[in-house]
Amino acid sequence: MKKILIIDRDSSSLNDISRLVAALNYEPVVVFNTAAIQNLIREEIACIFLDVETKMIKVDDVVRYFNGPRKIGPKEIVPIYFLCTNPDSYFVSHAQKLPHTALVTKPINLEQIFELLYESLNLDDWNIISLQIIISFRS
Amino acid sequence: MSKKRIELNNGLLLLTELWGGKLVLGEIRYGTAKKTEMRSALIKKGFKYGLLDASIGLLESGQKGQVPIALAYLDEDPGKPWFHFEDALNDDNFTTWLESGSLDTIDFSYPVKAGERLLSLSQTPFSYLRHPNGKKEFLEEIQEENIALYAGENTTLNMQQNAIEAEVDGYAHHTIYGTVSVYPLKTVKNIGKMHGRVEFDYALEVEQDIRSESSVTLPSNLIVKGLIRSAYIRVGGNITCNFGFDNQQRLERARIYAGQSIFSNQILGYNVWAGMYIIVQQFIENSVVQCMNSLVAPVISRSEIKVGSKVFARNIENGTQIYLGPNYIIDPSLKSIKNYNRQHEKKLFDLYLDLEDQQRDLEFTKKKALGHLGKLNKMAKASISSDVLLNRFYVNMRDMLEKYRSTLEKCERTLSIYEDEKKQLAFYETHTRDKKDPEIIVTGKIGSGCVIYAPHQTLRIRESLHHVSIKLIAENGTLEISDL
Repeated sequence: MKKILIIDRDSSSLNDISRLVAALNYEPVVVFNTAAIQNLIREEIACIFLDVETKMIKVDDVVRYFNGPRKIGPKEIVPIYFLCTNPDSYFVSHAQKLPHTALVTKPINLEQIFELLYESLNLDDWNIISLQIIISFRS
Repeated sequence: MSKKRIELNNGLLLLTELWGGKLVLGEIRYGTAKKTEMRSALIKKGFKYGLLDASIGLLESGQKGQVPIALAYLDEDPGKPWFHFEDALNDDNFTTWLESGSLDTIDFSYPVKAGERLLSLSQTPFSYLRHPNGKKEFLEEIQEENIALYAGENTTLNMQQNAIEAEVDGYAHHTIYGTVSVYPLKTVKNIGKMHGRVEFDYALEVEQDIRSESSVTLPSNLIVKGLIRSAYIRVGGNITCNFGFDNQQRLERARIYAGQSIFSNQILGYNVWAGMYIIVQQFIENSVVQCMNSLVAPVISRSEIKVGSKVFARNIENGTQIYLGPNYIIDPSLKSIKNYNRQHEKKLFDLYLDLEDQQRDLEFTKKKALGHLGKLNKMAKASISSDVLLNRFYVNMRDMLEKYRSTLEKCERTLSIYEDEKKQLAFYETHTRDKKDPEIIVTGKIGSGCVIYAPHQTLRIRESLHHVSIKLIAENGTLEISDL
């Protein structure tokens, strides 16, 4: 099962995103420090939600680990969504210089998160793939 | 994206449909609501499938904001089995047959010859995505569906593996779960109390009567040329009785259970259960009759009738009570099949956990062995103790792998049983619930004092009604009366 990485200290948005992700048959993975990121397999992560205002993790490190210049091809890029409360803060202006897919302002709206996931995960295709897996398992 | 508002007793539930209706988000905009209230409101609004119980629980506990409340899921349609031997009368042609056919031509005994085709699939099984609002999104056909699970006693799957055939000459029947069986015929003159418990593995033909206080249990069809008097009958297939059931002695033990259909001249004072049709030529009186599909009787009087689909009658009178709709009929054997299915599900889950544990142990031992080999690499020469240790690792891993394989085999076996049971239950569901449109059709009169029960309405007939049809509206569980 593919995983979606969530790095956020705010429990309400963390829970909301986790619930939506779990409902879509993806596995939410929550990480609270930079060292824990090293244990993740890059290929397993389908997309990332990262709170740029949290001080528990360096945004640069996360972006470099998943979408650093050494990673291959534009198709291999893991979509990274930045979350923030105050779009005018220093952290956000610093983070926006880094490569990312979109910036989401809190409080988050599940419909908006779903739209983002729908675009980046290609959900319709995923269903067909899961079906094929089931059929091959049966045969 | 579409939004729907559901007014609750003490609040408002706002639903948002996303992904073309595959995902539904729910939010309590104000007030509070109980889980049961939300569930029934969702069902009433048409969201019956894929409800996420945990999310509804969250909303009950006061969760603010949206939560995923229902999600589409992958399901399979088992296809539509076609029972060749019952061509004369089946669900599709029942009404037209009733209009133009005659009760005299009914034969529920279904004699078949060896090699005769009994069942094949008239519609290929397919997989689909079931949306929360009930919509089926077709995905693809499943070609390699095995129909062997429908083969019962004395039947076999044919060479092409597309039909089930009879192995012996005899009488065929199918159960409410779809299994087809054939049993050879045994003929007896009559059955009485002195015969004790009669339990045969045959289809039985009784030339005269089944007398009072006798007990007959058969897996197949029962054909009685005479009368059944105050006897206990339990039959897996169909019952054809030329003279009728008569419980004049009012014995509590006198009951009739037929897995499939019943054809009789009359039913008097009996407690009867049938898995398919009950067709009576004369009358039903003072009886308690349950029928999962349709019931045909010219006169019904002083009886309690529970019927899943349709009642066709000329006169209904003398305070007869009719319970209309599939929810009122309880199948005595359904509970045990559901229990077996639940037990197998639990067993399967335990086996999965066991497999995971064994896999972890195996990986751990492998890692230890590799670590030791890595150490050996650095040493100048191997010692005897390391040789013993590595050998022990190897033996351990081999035993573990053997155990793992046997658990995997057990797991596969349980999975196939579990899936077969699920298919049988799906067959049961489609045959008892789909496209039934419960209705009472009275061509004569329904007398005052009769009562008709529906899930959300009780209709007491105060003045006689003539030539009416009383339909159950499935959406809100109420009754609708119209002229024929």
